[in-house]
Amino acid sequence: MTMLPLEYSLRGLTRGRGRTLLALAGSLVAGALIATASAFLGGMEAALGSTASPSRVIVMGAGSEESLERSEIGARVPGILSASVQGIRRTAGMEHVSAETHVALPIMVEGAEAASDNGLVRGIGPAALLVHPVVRLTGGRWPERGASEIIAGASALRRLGIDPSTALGSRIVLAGAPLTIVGTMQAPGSTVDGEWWMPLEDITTLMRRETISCVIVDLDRATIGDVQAFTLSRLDLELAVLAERDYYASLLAFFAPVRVLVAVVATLMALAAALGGASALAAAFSERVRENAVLETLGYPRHAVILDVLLQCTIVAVSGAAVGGLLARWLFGGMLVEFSMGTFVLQFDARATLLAVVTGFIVAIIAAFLSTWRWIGLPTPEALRTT
Amino acid sequence: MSLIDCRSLCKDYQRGGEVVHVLDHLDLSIERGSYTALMGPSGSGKTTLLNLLAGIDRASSGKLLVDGTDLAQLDRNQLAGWRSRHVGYVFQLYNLVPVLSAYENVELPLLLHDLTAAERHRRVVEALESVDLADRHAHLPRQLSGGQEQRVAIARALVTQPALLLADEPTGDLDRTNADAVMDLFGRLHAQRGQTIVMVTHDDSIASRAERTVRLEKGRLATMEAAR
Ligand SMILES: Nc1ncnc2c1ncn2[C@@H]1O[C@H](COP(=O)(O)OP(=O)(O)O)[C@@H](O)[C@H]1O
Ligand SMILES: [Mg+2]
Repeated sequence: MTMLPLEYSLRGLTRGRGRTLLALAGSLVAGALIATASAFLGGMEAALGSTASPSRVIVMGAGSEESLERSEIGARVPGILSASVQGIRRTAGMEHVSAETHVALPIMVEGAEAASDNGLVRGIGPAALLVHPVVRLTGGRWPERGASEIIAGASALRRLGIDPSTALGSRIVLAGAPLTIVGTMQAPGSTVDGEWWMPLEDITTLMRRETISCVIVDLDRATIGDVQAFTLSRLDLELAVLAERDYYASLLAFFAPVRVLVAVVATLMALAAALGGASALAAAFSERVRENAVLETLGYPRHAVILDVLLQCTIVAVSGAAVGGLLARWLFGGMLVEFSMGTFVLQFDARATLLAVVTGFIVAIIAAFLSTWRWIGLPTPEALRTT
Repeated sequence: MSLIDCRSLCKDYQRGGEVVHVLDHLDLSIERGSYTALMGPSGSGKTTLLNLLAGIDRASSGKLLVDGTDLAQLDRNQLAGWRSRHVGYVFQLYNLVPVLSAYENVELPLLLHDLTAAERHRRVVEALESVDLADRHAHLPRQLSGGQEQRVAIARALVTQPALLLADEPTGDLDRTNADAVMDLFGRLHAQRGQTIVMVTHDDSIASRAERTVRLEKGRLATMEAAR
């Protein structure tokens, strides 16, 4: 195929340097926006998804499948369940059955003026780590029953203004009760990173409740059908079973409006930046209507000229957008975002980079279109007559 | 056979609701190796005719054969390819690519030809030499005078060794000295190489350099006169 030399295309970019830079800036902003939006959505997906395992099921109160915080089941359920369902996973004699209570409670550093926001508190027992393998105790120890002790995820601590590395021994007030932080945990990219954990019995006492929220069970030979059969045989317990995966998928679905909003806003803003960049390039090129016609007069087919313009636009827009993506990663990579389920980490992954580059291509195509449509619409004799 | 053969060539433009016959059943033959000046009042269709001969524009009706090719049979891309092999075009305002050096401007049309790099280099050097610009290879258009720019443009038109050299008021933007230099160059090309030239001009003294003058008036040939 007939093409203009690449080197000439490159040199074409050195004229109208101001416009080239403007276009570079436009696609840089567009690339950064899109990469950041992707990182935001990816981070949220990861936080809600990394915890989920296909072998785990959540047994909760019938009718409250969408929210563990609203779910209530009898405190006897875990015992009845492990006696009734065969084939639950065991490690060193301990069944992977975690009775849990999930509540959002006002929390603050002891001595602080007023409670900041609500903390996500999980009442747990010894089996909790078995069904939450992403969680690691990074400092201190497990909280003891009846000793007013609590442990916390790194981002939960940061949210209260406590440095995780010096958190041990700090005191907080949870729903009016003073507690000592005896351990720190980490579950990067998972919602647990934003949670407070304390013994199940303590939270039950603190809240004066008689129920728990749910039981998380890790199945070995048993299937979710076995657990369903159990709940159907004990309709009096009013239980529902949900695969952990489905639970997190429904959470993700709950956040769909937010996610769509983020995507749409980022896309619109990126589009504005992209159009700015593209029109700067197009302005530079529309002065070349006559030059394009001259190239055609010399014998270059139009596709060679269009390709040359597209190539120049691509070089500017794709490099701008890719740099934008990298810049966003450098600026915002690892940043924690708080949302009602805790926190998540912005995920600048391959998808974010790829989307930034794709954004660059889109800018290039828009710019090439804007740059050539006037020339394409003009017969060569008229294009030669333009000044 | 003539190099150019126009039979009953028409070019109409729609202007408002009115049809303007810019070229009106024009008959014209131009011999291989001839040197023709095309004259006529402004708006008489000189550029239009040149553009038809170059395959840049299309006739509304009539027959046009250039170097044996019926241009009406070729599509836009084929015309571009044909042009790169048969036609050199010189504009009044030079139309050099501003970011390319004199050498690169001259090389540009040759890149469409299947030549070795060495052969291409040889031809570019030779073309620049033939327009007396052997020492200006690396100059950018803005570093050249108008006369020099036009000579680069002529080298660019000639480097592919086209059968037909078309020039639309090539001296229209030049002072007397530079215009004479360009005319001397055309004269040499015609005399020494037998280059076929069709040149549009307003200027009688420029036209007198050609072998014959063709006058366009109201879309037809007014007179054909031999200058020498
Ligand atoms: N695209 C067009 N649409 C309408 N009229 C045109 C167009 N191009 C040229 N013309 C008309 O055709 C006539 C001849 O133009 P042109 O060939 O440029 O004249 P010349 O070169 O002899 O000065 C003029 O009257 C001009 O206005
Ligand atoms: Mg004209």
